[in-house]
Amino acid sequence: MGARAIAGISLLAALIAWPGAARAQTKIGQYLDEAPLRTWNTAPFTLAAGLGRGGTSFTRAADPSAALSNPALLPLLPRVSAAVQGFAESASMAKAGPIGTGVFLTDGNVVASSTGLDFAGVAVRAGRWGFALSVCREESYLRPTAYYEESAPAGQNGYLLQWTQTGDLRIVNAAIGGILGHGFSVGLGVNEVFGSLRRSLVEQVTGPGGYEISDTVTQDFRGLFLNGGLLWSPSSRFRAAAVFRTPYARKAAGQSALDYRAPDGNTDIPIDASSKDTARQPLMLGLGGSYDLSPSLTLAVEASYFGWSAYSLDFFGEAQDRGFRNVVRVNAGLEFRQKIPLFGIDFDMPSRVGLIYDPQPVKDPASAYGDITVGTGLAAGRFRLDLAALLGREWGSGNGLIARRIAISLIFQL
Amino acid sequence: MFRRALVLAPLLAAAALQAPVYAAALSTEGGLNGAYHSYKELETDLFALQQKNPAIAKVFDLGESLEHRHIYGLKISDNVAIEENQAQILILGCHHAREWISVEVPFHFGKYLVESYATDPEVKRLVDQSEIWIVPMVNPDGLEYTIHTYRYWRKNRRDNGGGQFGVDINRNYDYKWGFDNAGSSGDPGSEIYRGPAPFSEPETRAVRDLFLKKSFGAVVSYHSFAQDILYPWGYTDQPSDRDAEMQGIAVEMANRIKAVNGRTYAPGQSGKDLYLTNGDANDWTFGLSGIPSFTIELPPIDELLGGFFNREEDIAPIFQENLPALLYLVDRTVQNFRPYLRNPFDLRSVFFPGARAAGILY
Ligand SMILES: [Zn+2]
Repeated sequence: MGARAIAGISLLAALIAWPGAARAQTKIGQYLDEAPLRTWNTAPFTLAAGLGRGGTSFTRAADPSAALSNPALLPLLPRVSAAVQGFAESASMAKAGPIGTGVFLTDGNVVASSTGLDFAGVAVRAGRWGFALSVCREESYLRPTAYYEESAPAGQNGYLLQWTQTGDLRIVNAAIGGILGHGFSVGLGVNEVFGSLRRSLVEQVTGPGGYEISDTVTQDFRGLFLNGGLLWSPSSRFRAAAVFRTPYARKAAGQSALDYRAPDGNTDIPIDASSKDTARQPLMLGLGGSYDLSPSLTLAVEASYFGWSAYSLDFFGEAQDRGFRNVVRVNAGLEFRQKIPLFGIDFDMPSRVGLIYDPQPVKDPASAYGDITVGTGLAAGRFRLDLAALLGREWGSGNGLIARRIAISLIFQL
Repeated sequence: MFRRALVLAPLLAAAALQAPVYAAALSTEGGLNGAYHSYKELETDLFALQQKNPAIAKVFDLGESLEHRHIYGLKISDNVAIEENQAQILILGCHHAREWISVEVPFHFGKYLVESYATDPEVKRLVDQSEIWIVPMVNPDGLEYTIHTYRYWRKNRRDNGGGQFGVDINRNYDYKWGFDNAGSSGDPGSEIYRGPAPFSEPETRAVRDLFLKKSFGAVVSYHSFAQDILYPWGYTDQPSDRDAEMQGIAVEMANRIKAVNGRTYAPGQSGKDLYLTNGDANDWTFGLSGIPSFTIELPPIDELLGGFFNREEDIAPIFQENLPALLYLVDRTVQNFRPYLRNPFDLRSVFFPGARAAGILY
């Protein structure tokens, strides 16, 4: 899972016009230090098929990622299915860490981008039961790398300032689902969370009498939560679902190394710290329905509640003031299925489109993304390829942030 | 001089003996900033001091920073809940966010007074005869930014627009504010940006409002680094008409500091011996009230020895070397104190009745 950060940053020693009235305070906005890239509401993880229809995934799934969105779908999958997914994503931000807050001056929003694999999973069905084991990357903590350098000839002082932040959060999920009868099925998953975050700032005055300040914080995350769902299929055309994800304590083992070194003075002043912290993650509840408008066209609508007001974060022993608001995300999508003959083979080639209203939990400034998604696929025999893209624009912060995601998943099924 | 030296000897011994006790009793363990105080750690420790001896220590909320943190003042005096007609001393720390040690010396001074009051007759005498006001963290927003984001941030966290942040709150006081562009800057991106108007910042207004309510007889504002004891003027390299007196006090303090750990703090006029500053705290307090006003630049002496960094284990010795100088200044203020009459014709209340009039220069 290689991550690549793109810096759209220039440090301007510019004269800035004096504004009429100074504003009240530093509003960092969505990208608090621990914020996931793109959106705070990362659950549930979906493969490209779900992403293409606006992220709707509670009532329809044709791959092992059903375990993450609604494990009650597992007994409806083929006898064996396996999937992997690759992704590319990017998100823009106006402020993050020292970027846009007075240290690195930017001439617009900056963008963090990464690519990699973010899902691998397998599901099997035996009679009325379905089982799945999968791993996904659900959150990324990537930020644009900020870098500034003034080189100097030997014997003179140069300057360097560099800031990076990387990290992600992964979930290993084991889930089971069973058909209860009368159109009902249920499912439950156990999720082991692990991940890390690393943030580093280096400031150097090079040359004679120079010094270096390095400030590095790393955290290793662990956590455990349950997810589950209920699926009701009263007719062949209609399905409804209710899903949940339990709140949980995300434990963080932290190390901080702040260091001042001035080689010409033989000076080395380390200030080290370690910590055991907790972030209380919110309850997530979802409701959704899907309806076959025709044998080839399905509409799905879902609402997901995130109890962010219960979110709390300790960071190196100190409670951080977050004061989040609860939010409800709304997803809606259409899937149109058709067969296309190519090279004498009949391919299934669905078309998908969707919309997402995705409010963020940060209160001030309150903001929300509006996302458009599109997707398609190609299936023949035992293999299916799904492709989806999301384009989101944020409003509320005044910064017009943009989020993009492309996912390609390959599914094998028997 | 000799008499004072004799009086100080037991105080120094007490300071040395008590050093380990300080380290054990604080809430500063474990944070990103090591043994230094974060905003919340300071809040906890100040209220702990009040709780420890509520008869002589009381925490006051002097105002709110831009990001809604409290700017706390610790008042230490006998009968702390009431205003007495006594000598008053003001000790300030952390105008500049990255100068972490400048929080510690004022805080530890308050802690020392509270914890030594019952056992040290000299401390008891000084506390009984004075009101000592300690404001260890004038710039809490900036300090938190240095802990979480960028260690060498200096100013407060004012959003100046255009991606520029921060006012140098030690250029925002209203004496010769913006006198020239050498001692401060009108550029919002500058490290010495003076702000759009004198006292535009809530942090300086908090100090101003306290100062105007009281009748301080001396002020010390702690900074780092360079090891200096600076007195007005800062806005000019020309001496004040009381230059000899200020220099005399600075020399007395420097001698006492040197006697502890052997470190030299150079006494000098701020604008002549360091660099020009206009709108700083000391020019304002001196210009307004004519009281002894000092900026003490704490160790180290230069960037080769740490710049704005001090070893965690150096917090105690740096406090200890400053202790006798502070006690000397408190004692001197007590000795020179003449009880004043509070009446409607008090010049201070005529010329400076409140916040609006604070801009008057003289
Ligand atoms: Zn300073």
